[in-house]
Amino acid sequence: MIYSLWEEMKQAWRALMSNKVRSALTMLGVIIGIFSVITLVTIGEGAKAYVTEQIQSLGAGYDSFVMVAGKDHSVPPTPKFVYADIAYMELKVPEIRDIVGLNPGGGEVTYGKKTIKPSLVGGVTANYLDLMGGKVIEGRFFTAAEVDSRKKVMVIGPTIAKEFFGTGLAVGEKIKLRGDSYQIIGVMEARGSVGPMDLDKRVVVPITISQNMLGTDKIMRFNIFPKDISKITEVQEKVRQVMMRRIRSDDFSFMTQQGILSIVNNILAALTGFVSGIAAISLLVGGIGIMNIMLVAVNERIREIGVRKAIGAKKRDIVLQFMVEAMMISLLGGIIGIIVGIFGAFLIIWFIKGSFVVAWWAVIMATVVSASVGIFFGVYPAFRAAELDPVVALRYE
Amino acid sequence: MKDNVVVRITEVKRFYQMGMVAVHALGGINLKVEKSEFVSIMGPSGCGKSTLMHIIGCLDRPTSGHVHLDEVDIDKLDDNELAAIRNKKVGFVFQTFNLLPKLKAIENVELPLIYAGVGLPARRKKATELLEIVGLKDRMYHRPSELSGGQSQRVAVARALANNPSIILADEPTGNLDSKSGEEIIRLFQELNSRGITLIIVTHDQEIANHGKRIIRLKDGLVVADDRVTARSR
Ligand SMILES: Nc1ncnc2c1ncn2[C@@H]1O[C@H](COP(=O)(O)OP(=O)(O)O)[C@@H](O)[C@H]1O
Ligand SMILES: [Mg+2]
Repeated sequence: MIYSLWEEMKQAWRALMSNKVRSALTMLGVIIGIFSVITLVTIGEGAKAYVTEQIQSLGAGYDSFVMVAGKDHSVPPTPKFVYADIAYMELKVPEIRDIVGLNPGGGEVTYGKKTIKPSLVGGVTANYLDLMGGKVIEGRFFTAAEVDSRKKVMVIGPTIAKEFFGTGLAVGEKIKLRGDSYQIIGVMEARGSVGPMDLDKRVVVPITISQNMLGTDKIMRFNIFPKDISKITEVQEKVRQVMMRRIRSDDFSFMTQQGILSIVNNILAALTGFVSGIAAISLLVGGIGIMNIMLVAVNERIREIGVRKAIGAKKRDIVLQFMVEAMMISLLGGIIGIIVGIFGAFLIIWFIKGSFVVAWWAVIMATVVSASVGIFFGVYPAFRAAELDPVVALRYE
Repeated sequence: MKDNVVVRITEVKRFYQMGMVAVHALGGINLKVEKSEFVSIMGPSGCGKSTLMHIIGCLDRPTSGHVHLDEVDIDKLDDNELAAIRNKKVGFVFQTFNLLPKLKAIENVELPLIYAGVGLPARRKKATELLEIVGLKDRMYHRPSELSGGQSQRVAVARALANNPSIILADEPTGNLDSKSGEEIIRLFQELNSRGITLIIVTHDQEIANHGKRIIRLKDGLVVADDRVTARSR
C-alpha cells in the first residue's frame, strides 16, 4: 500500500509536469489562499515579537507594570511625577513591593579625546539593576543614599567600558556628560540587546542627578512591582487614585506586557479572521478548480483507466491515483503559497524594520489544509474514474 | 485431464439493453480451452468476438451462463477479486496497443507488476527479461511515441506476460500493423505458445489464424465452427 502510494506519487508528478501551465493555473486558488494567510500570520507574529521586545525594553516583565507620564502617545508627555512620589506611593499602596524610577535621556559621554553616544543615558533609582535584571561585574551599583545625596556617580555598560578603557579598569575613572564630570563606580554585565536597545551601551546615573541634567525635577516613568502579581489590576487602580489626587491630573498611563499583547492579539485576531475568510473563499474556489480539472483529467484518461483496469488495477488503485494527483496539485500550491507568503512577509518586515519570526504552527496548518483541500475536492473525480466500466472505458475513443 | 482446462465457458449469453431492444452480443456460447492451446477466433464484425474476449478475460460478466478460469468460478468473485485475476491470470493485448504514452517501454511492462505489489528491483529485472524475449532490449527506455507499431505491440505483449498469466488474450493484435509487423507478432505468439503459453487471438485474417492450432468461428453471437488447424490448411 505504502509502496504503491510512492508509485502513484511518481506517476501523478509526471501527469502534472506534462501539463505545467494547466497545473499551475489550477494551483492558483490554493496559492493565493495560503499565501494571504501565511503573509498575515508571519507579519502578525513579527508584530507580536516586536511589541513584546519594545515592552521588555521598557523593563516590563510579567511581574511588573509601567506607569508613564502622558496619556496620548501622539504628543510629547509633560511629566508631573517627582522622586518623592516613590516613597509616597509605597506608603499609600502597601500592596506595592518595589518601584523603580527611570528618566530616559540622551547625550554623549566623553573620556579624554573619545566621545561615545550611549544607547541610553538613564537616571535611575538604586534598585534599578536588581529589579530590571542585570549584574555589575566590576565595582558596584550606586546606593539609595548616593541617589538621595545626588552623587555624581555613574555605572556603565561593558561596551562603553571596553571602548574607553580597553581591558583596563574602568572603576575610579571620570567621564564627562553634559559638562559635568562623573565618577565611574561600576560596569554592568553584558546582556546584548532587547529590541532596538543595546543594553551593553547604556550608562546610568542617580535619578536625582538626571533631574538636574534634564533641567527639571520631574520623572518620566516608574516600573511598579506588586507584591502579588495576580493583583496587578487592583494595584494599578489604587496607584491611579492615589496619584490623581496627589498631582491633580490624570495625564499618565499604565502598560503591562499582557495588556499590550492582548490589544495586539485582539487586532491580529480580527485581521486574521478577516484574511482567513478571504483565504477560505479562495481555497474553496481553488478546490472547485481542482475538482474541475480532475474531472477533465478523468475524461481525458478514460482509455488509460480502462487499460489500467484491464491489467489489474483495482478500484482502490484508481481512486488513489487521482486522489494523489489532486492532493499533489493542492499541496504544491500550498507549499508555493507558504514560500511566497513567508518571503513576502519577510520583505515587508524588512522594509518596516520589524521582527521576522516564522510561525511554524501556521506553516504546518497551511500544509495540512492545502493537502486536505486536494483530498476533499479530489474524492468525487477519483471515484468517478474508479467506477468506470472497464469495457466501456476501453472502447472509448 | 481436468487440470489442464484453462477456460471453460458454459451457456454464456451477453445482452445489451438498448432502450426497448436487447442486443444479443452472445447468444449461448460453450467453449473449452486447454493449456498450451493456440486458438484463433474469427467472424464478421459485430458477431461478439470482443465481447467474448472481455468475458473470458474477466473484464465483463455474462448476462447468464458460467465462466471458469483455471477452474475458478468467476460468478462468485467480487470486483476486487476479478481485478486480481486480470492482473495475475490474464494478459490482454489490444488492437491499438494501449500503452500509456507518458511511461517508457519498460515502465509500461512494469505496470501490472506494480499492481501486483512487486518491488522495484524485482520489477525492473522481470520487465527487462520480458523485453529481451520480445526482442526490444535496445528500446527499453523509449516512450511509445518513439516506437513503431510493431515495436509497440511487442511491448504490449511483454506487458501481458508480466505476471506469468494462464492465458494471453489478443483482440485483433495485428489489426493496426502492416503485414510484416503482423507476421512478426504472430511468430512471437507461436514462440510463446511453444513455451507452453495458452493463447486466444481474434483475427479477420485467415493467414494469421492458420498460424494457430484451432479456429473458432462466431456468427451472431454463436459458435458456428470449431476446427483444428491441419497441416493441409496451413
Ligand atoms: N456497450 C455496448 N452497448 C450496446 N451494444 C454493444 C456494446 N458493446 C458491444 N455491443 C454490441 O454487441 C455486439 C458484439 O460486439 P463486439 O463483441 O464488439 O463484436 P466484434 O468484436 O465481433 O466486432 C455488436 O452488435 C455491438 O454493437
Ligand atoms: Mg471487436
